[in-house]
Amino acid sequence: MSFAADPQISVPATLLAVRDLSDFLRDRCLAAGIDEGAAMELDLALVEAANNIVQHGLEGAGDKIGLSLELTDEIATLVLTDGGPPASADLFTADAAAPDPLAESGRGMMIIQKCVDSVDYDSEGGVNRLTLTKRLLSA
Amino acid sequence: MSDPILIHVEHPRLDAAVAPGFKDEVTTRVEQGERRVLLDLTAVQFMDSTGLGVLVSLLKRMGGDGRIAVVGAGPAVLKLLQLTRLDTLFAICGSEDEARDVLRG
Repeated sequence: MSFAADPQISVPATLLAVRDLSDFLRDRCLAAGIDEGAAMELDLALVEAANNIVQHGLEGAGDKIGLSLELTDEIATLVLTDGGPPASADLFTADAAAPDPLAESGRGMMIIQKCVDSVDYDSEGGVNRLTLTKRLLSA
Repeated sequence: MSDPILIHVEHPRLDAAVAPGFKDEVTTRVEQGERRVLLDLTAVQFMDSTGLGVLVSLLKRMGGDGRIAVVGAGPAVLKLLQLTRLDTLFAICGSEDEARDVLRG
């Protein structure tokens, strides 16, 4: 997707910096008049995805996470990029089962999949690209 | 039955960045053997699955008959609880009085 070739925002791969990605998303959603419920779900999906990238790939590696966002009247598209080790092919796309209610972790993928309509992942040329797409009811 | 422990959570974002510290905070507040906790989440504007995991760990720490009631949950917190279906694990209450009644019941 051409709009994501260069990230619109790039932050250090730390859990604290994930907040900057979240702020960027919320500001853009507000400016575009995106429904609050949809913005909330996009934010949650973004944070869970970025946390996953930091915790399972990049934390401590001194790398960065990029985010590009495209909002139209009907579709929100988020593209997260990073230069960490590639994830397994089905990590983000296989159906995530709900964990045991008393599990303390393991809900991130399920939350992402419930908050957006499609999740696509590829890794090429040393760049991992996670694309989250959500249909919007109204803009 | 003694009053529940009341914990005001002061983190506007209860996320992975603060979850380890928050877990230490609440763990020290809940003494071994405590069975009732009232969590005031009024100040929490956003929570992710890691923050939610701390609440689950708190519940587990209290043992099988432990209960947590939540008040002040805003839209983002409610959304997370509903998506994960953990709104059935915690008592989601509209007021402190209601939460105390639930915890006494």
